[in-house]
Amino acid sequence: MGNLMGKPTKKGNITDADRAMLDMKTQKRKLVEYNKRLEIAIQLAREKARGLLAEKHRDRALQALKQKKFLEETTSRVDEQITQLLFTIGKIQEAQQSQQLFDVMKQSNLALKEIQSQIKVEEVERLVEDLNEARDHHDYVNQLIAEHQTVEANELAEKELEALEDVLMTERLPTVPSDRPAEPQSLPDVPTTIPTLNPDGAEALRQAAGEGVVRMEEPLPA
Amino acid sequence: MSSQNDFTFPFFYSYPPYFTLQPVKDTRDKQIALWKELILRYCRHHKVFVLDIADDSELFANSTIKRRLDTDARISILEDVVSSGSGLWLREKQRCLILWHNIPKWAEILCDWVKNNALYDEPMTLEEIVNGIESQGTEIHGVHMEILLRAVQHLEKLGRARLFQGTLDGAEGVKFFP
Repeated sequence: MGNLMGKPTKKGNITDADRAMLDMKTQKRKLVEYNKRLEIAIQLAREKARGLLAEKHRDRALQALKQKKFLEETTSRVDEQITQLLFTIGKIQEAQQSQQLFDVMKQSNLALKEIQSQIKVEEVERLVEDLNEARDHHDYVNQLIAEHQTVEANELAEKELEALEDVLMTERLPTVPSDRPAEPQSLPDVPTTIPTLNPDGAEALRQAAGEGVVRMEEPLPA
Repeated sequence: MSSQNDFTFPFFYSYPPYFTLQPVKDTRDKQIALWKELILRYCRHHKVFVLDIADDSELFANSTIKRRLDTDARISILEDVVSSGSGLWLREKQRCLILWHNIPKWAEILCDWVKNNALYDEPMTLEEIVNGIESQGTEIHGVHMEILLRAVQHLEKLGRARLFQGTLDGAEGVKFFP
């Protein structure tokens, strides 16, 4: 198939059609040259007739004009032949193109068939079947994994929930000590009323009460 | 011939000594080189493909200074043109084909022309290449048949053209390939 893309005409095969074309072109050239000669002859015949008439040779002048008429008919016939040749040349060129197109299409059709022949329908069916099976298998495995994953995920989620709860618990606990010390701070106010029994020692008792508050505070968390 | 007025002859064309072959070799070599350059330029300008030794054209004879190259001088100069690849004797020491482009260059011009006119694979007569409407206005039009033939033969060696004969007399044809 490599030749298809290459240069098949590189060797330059000369076909009979090429020679025929060449001959027609040569023939056309010869006809054109012939016509040129005829036109010169017509011109000469006209001048000859005029000269003879000037010399009063009426019969011979008529003869020359008859000859001229004949030559003129010939040129128009030759003109027609040239046109005909050009027409045929065009037709051959067109036919050659058509043939080349046909050859290329034929070749590409063969190539297409060859490619197609390498693909057997049963094999394709088997292949599609295999692919379907493989897909089913894959789907089943995926499903299993998905189920396993949901069980596992549930467990994990629960564990995470517990962990989160623990975190929340431990996060809440440290708030407790911060709340309680508020109470002991108000507590020391209480003993101040009791030492009124002994006003002299009130100052000392207040100081002792300050210490006493600390002392009283300590057993509380325990 | 108004185009002849466009052509400017070099300075030496007005100096009588240049119309006589110089006896000293070095001087003569320079003289011949100048003439060679003039011949190629002149022929290209006027599309003169063949120079005839016997022809007293303005190239060989300057009527203004009444000087002309003699036959021996013409032959010596043209022999130099031929030996440098810019000419071919059509008839030894009488008629010389002037190649202002060498044959490979003509082949290249021919190739470009075929390509530009989409004429690949088209059987053509050599005659129609030279005189046909397709070549009008190009350097190919009116080219000397000998040059065309040699250019085609050059392309044939490269596998880019094929010469062939028809069945009629004088039906020499060629096909070009991309």
